[in-house]
Amino acid sequence: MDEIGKRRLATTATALAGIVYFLAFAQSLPKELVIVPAWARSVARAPTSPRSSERGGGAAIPFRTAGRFGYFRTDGEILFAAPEPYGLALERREWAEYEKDSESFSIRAATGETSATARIAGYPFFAGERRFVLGPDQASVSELGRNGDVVWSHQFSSIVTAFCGGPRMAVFGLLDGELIGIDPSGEGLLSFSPGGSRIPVILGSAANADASLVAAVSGIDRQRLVVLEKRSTDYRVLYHRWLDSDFRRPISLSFTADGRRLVYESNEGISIWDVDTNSESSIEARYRAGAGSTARRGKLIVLQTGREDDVRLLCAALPDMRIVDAALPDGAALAAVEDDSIYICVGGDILRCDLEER
Amino acid sequence: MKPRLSRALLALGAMGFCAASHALDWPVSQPRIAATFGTPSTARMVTGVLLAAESGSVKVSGPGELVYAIEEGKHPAGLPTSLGSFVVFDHGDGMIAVYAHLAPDPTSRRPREARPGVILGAVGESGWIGGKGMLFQVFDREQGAWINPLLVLPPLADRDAPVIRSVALTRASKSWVLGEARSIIQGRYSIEIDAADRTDAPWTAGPIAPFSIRISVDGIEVAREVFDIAKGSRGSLDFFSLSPKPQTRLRTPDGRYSITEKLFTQGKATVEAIVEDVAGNRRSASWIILVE
Repeated sequence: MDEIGKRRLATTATALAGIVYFLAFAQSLPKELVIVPAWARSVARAPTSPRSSERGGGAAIPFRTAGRFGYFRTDGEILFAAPEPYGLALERREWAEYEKDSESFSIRAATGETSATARIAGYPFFAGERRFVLGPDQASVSELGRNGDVVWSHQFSSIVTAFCGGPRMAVFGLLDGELIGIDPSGEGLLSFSPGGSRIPVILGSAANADASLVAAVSGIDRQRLVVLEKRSTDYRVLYHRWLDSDFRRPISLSFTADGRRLVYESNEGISIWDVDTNSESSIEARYRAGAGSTARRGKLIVLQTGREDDVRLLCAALPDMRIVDAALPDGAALAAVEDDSIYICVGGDILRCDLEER
Repeated sequence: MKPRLSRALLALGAMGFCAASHALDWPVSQPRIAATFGTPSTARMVTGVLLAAESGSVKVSGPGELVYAIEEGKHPAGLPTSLGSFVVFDHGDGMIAVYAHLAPDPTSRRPREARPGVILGAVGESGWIGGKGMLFQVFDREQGAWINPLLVLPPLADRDAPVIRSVALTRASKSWVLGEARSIIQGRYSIEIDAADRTDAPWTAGPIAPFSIRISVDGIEVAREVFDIAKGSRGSLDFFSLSPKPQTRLRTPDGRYSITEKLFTQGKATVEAIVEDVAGNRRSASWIILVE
């Protein structure tokens, strides 16, 4: 074969190899995650008092914005937007207004019906489908039953500084560095003092849904993260780490909805501890709210970050890949993350944005 | 350790703690007491000293460092703050001071390190408080107990003795007020006293608790209680170091302190009550009752 023939053969072979490669090993471009606006509603046009909704419209989600509070449905229907009172306990199923020197209050469903009336001094708060009342001394807590009657009351040794409420166990962190877990019947399930710091104090506490894992950030000089695991009869330390942080205030700490990751405020910004791999990662951002909010079937965490005058929305693929980091208007707040929808309150408006792959 | 011995050690510890050189200064310039340690207020007894003030700064009471600060309604876990905006300082030797119901600080920048006199905020009415002012509490980490702040603060000029409104003997939910009842049948009675200290504060959280209460029967002291410490234990709050008493049993529904129980046997009995405030002003009263 002459020289020209060899070149033609080589060219043809290369072209064929290219075609075979593209046909056999082609990969489509990765889809991008985008945030798509779905709807926006102004609370100014909503009724100011609760009313029953006859339409389905999805689950009721609580909100607070521009001095008003209420519930909206995922389809955009605002059930009501009432003026915000002095004190308000607000969660998915129910809410309660209370006075500054509250000695009784009514608990009402999202649709407005009164479900219980409680006669007890203190401030109500709801978590994990449980109803609690913090006493006027900040050192005593009661739990209310379905009728609003007191199921149990507990006087702690010092002031309650941290809290996490779950259906199986509510975890209270105290000023004196003790961590107390109480079940719905009032039985103490956990009593633990992390210790090891010059000044003991609990700054944040968290428990996963089945209360098999409990975490706390504690102490000053040095600060410490401790994760406890439920064994057959008690809790044992599963993981601990000395932290570089020097917080002197309550911090955000929460397990993701699947309970497999712990998200907490740290010196690095947002730190994430993976239960399964026992590894930590971090995202540089100033943590504000939304600790346990996940989307895309738990693969994405959605957080509100930034300062008062620089509110940001952060979506990160776990463990630590920042996907979306968007500035929000002043005063904006993350209301909820539901499946792949993000609800944001901005100056009297509620916005729904959907996460989509395109 | 036997309970009585441990209580005695606790009392000794409290006295040593109070006598230590770490006495604190008043956090406000002109303190007017709206509630003392042990004052019954709504649903609880006060474990600090409430100071009434229309305006003014709140100073750090001694050298120390910030442990915890929170502004009203800003807890990231949604926990309410019945103490309103409050700040906690460690003053050394296990002594923690809580400065509560402060005016909110929009900047959330409370001082971290403090010498005496450093201003940490202003008096306010945040959280559960009956008027404008602040709550000052002292917690002893070593004992895990609240200490009466008046034991570690400089004494105030006070010449008004507390008042004794009534003393009653109670048995099976029935009360005999001494001075009104002439006789009782013999048996074991609870001795209850309605006594309060005086104050010039524009508002109070309740009848101001005296510092100490003593009860004697026929010249023999049967009870001596000092509002020195309160300790959260087994889910309840116990007052007094020497003979701890749960706050739920210490205060009766009709507003008296239930101090002790005593068996009254046939004959005449002389009951004497002595109450003192922390400045040492004393009031006493006695009654004779016939036991049938």
